[in-house]
Amino acid sequence: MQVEVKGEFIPIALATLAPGEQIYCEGGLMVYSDPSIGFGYKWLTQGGVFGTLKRTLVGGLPFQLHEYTGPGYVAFSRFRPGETRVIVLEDGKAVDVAEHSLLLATNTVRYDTFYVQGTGRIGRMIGFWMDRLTGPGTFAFQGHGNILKFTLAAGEAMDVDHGALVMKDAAVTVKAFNQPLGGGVVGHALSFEALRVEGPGDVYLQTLDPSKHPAGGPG
Amino acid sequence: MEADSVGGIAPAVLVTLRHGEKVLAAHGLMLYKEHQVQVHRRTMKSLGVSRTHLMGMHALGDSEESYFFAEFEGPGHVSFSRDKGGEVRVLQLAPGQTIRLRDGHLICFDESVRYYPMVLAQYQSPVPDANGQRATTYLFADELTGPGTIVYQSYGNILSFNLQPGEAMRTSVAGLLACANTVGLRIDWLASPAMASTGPVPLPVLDITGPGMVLVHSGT
Repeated sequence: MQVEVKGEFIPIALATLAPGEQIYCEGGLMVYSDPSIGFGYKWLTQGGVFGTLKRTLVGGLPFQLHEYTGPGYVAFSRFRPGETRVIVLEDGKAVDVAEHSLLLATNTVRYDTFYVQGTGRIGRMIGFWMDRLTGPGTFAFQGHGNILKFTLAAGEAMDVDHGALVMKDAAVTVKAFNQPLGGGVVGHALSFEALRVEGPGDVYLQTLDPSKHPAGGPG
Repeated sequence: MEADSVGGIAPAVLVTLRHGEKVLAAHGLMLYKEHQVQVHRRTMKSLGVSRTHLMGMHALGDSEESYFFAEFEGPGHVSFSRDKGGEVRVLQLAPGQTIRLRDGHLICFDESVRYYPMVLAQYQSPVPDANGQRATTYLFADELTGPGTIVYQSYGNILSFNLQPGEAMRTSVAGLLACANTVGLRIDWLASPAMASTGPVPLPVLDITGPGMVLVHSGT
């Protein structure tokens, strides 16, 4: 499979598939395709009935993914302004992509989801879902706005805004916390939500907060 | 502090702070920071802005002024984003140099910069509403006086003008992004084409007279 990113402001990821090659994505992302492309569903059954109900009813994630089979071309977009990156995963390499950011992945990439706990503070952050992708294979994702990449050494940490994290290596840990704005009771009352990410591994941040720019396909 | 704009679809600014250096930003603009950068609360009162003045601004209308800023203390990097498209500019203010920036566009500024929120201009609607009242619109701005660095973001692109003494230009009310405190501002009215139901509605514009810098942005 070949993936080419076309356009800059609201780009598309154009995949060219050989006969029998398959890719998957969330429903509603396809922009155009070759009539020769086959279509099907990839059902998500990880975690059994309760796992599925948690993902779909609580997390708002789809029951199934859409699957496209070559030969031919097919283009995808999240229909929002944002940089798109194409990543090749080695066998066994795992990465985590923020919910509603994955554009496409080859069928050799194993797909799973997990929940990042929020701080649980009343009226504040309740956590979010990430897609876990495990190689071998190729995938593409789209951020909100620009994408900034950082490589953290083992034990190296940085604090990021709640909505800024778009992708990371699975080895990078993420933990939500409330960042006090100064000391005392007032400082804690005014605290804002942030994530502490700790290496080793790559971290990708986006410059727009999805909660303020929610457009983007089914998400 | 050193500030660099990271360009593209939705630009961000990357600030590098030396040990003990401080940068102030509106609450909620931080994109990321290094772990060792400390976060404090900086009240408007500590910047010389009285609570009475702020309450007066809020009473006038849609002023976005908060009662505090988030203060980030180095050493380390901190990045900010206003979560929108538009040019990000870094401006070094000379000692005593003052710029008036429309509210909602300031990203961050050096601790050495003097900050004061103000009303840049105001106008009353020439056409009464259904209750017979003529609504007053206030144009709020952040007045920033050097020395120090400020970072701001426009809607769309920024066009820069430097007016000579007595030289004049006209902008739409939304088009003015910032101006020096040396320029004169006056509201003028343009008659617009007749509208079917409401009749002719004059259009407010800003007449600006030099000397001084004027920044206009292309989006609203």
